[in-house]
Amino acid sequence: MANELILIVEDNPQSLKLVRDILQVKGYQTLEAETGEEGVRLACERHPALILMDIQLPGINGIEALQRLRADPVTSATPVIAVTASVMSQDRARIMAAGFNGFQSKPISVNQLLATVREVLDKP
Amino acid sequence: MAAANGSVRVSGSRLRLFQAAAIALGVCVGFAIMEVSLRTWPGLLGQDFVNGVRSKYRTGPGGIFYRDNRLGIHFMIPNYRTEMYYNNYVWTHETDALGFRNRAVSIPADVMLLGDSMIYGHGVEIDSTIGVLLENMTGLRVANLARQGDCAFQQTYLLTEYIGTFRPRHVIYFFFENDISDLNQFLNDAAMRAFVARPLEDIRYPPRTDPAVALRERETTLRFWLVRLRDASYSLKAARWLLSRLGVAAVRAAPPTSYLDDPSSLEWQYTRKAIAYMHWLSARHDAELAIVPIVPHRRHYREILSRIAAELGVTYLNTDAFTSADQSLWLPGDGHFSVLGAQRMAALVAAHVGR
Repeated sequence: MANELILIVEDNPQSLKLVRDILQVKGYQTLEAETGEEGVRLACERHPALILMDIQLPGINGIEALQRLRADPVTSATPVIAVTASVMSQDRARIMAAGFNGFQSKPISVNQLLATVREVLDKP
Repeated sequence: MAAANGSVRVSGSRLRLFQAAAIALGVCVGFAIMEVSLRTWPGLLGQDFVNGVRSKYRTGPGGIFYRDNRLGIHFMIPNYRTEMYYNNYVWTHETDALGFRNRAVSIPADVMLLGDSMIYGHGVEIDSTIGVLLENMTGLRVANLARQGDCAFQQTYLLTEYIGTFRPRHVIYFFFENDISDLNQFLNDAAMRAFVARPLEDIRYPPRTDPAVALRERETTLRFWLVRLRDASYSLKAARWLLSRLGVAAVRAAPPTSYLDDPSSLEWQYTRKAIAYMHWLSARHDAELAIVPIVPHRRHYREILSRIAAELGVTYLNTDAFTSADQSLWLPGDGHFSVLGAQRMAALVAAHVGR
C-alpha cells in the first residue's frame, strides 16, 4: 500500500476533493493548498514526496510556484506534476519545458492520475 | 435566320437558368417555412419528434455526452449543468467531477449503483433519484454510476474502471427490460460471442481515452459548420426522424424478435456472462453483487434472471411489486420511475444494504 505524502495545490474545491479522495483511498497521505504561495510554503515545511500542482491558480500560477520550488534547495528535487485543463500539445510542451516531472489533464481520469503519480514516485 | 436561331438558344439557356434559380429559391423558401413552422410548433410531428429535437441525450451541441471512440462508449461531461427535457418532463441535469449524477463524488462509497436512465433519474430532480434517496434512507455513501442508455456492455466497463476506486461493499446491478435489445446497438454478434467465450479473468478493455482529449475532439468536431447545421436545423432533424420512422416501420414489419425471450439467445448469454463477470469482480474487491430487475412489461424476465442469479450464486432482489399495473410508480406518459416509484425502489435496496 502506498503511503507517501502528496501535496495537492488546487483552488477548485470539487477538483481538490476528488484528487484528495482518490489518493487517500489508495493509501496516500495528503496535504492541501489553495494557492501557489501556500503550496510553496507547505512544501518547504512538510517535505512531501510529490506535489500535484494546478497551473491556473489565484496569485502566482503553477509555473511560477514551480520556479520558486526549484530555486529553494529544500524543495528543488521534489517531483511536481502539472495539473491543467489544457490539452493542446504546444501548451503541454510549454508546461513540461518549465521543468515539471509529469502532466495530468483535467477532467481527471482516476486510473490515469494514479498511474502518473505512481510512475513519478517510482522514478529514481 | 441564324441570328434568330442564336437568339432562341440564348433565351432557352436563360430560361433554364431562371427555372433553376426559381426552383432553388422555392426550395430555400420552403425550407425556411418548414424550419420556422417546426420551431414554432414542434408538436406538429408528434411527441417523438419533440423529444428528438429537445432531448440532450446526445453528443452534439448542448448534449450531455461525449464519446470515447476507443471504447465505443459515451460518457457524461463532468461538472456540467443543464436543463433536460423529455415527454414534457423538465429536470436539472448536473454531473459530479467524474461525470456521474451525484451531489458530489463519494470516494470511498458503501454502495455502487449500475443502471440506465431509470437509475440516473430521468424526469426527476436529483433529490428524487434512487442514489440520493438511498443515501438519505441509510446514511451510507452511494456512488450512482447509472447513465441513460446503458446496458450490460457499459456497466461491466464502469465496474471494471471504478470498483477499485470506490471500494463499495455493495454493487447493485439494475437490469431494465430493454437491456437485452440495447446490446445490439453497441455490439455485433462476433463481439458478443467473443465476450461470452472469454474466461472471466481474461476480460479486458482498451485503455480509456483521456477525458480531456475526448472532450477536445468533441469540441473540434462541433466546430464544423455542417455538423452544427445538422444539429441545429429542425428541418434536417425532421428528415432524419421521418427516415427513422420508416426504419421502425420496416423493423415492425419484420418477423418477431424471438431472441428477446429466448434465454439461450446470444444477447441473454452475453448478459449472463456480464453478471458472472460483475459477480467475480465484485468478490475480488470484497463487495457483494445484487441483481435488481426492473421489468414491468416483461414479467417473465424475472424467472430468467432469478435462475441466472441462483446458478451463479448472486443475490437477487425480488421486485414483483413493481408492476406496470401500479401506475403510481411510473411517470405518466413516459414510463420512468415516478418520485414514489424511486422511493419504493430505494427502500427495497435500503432494506438489502442496510441489513
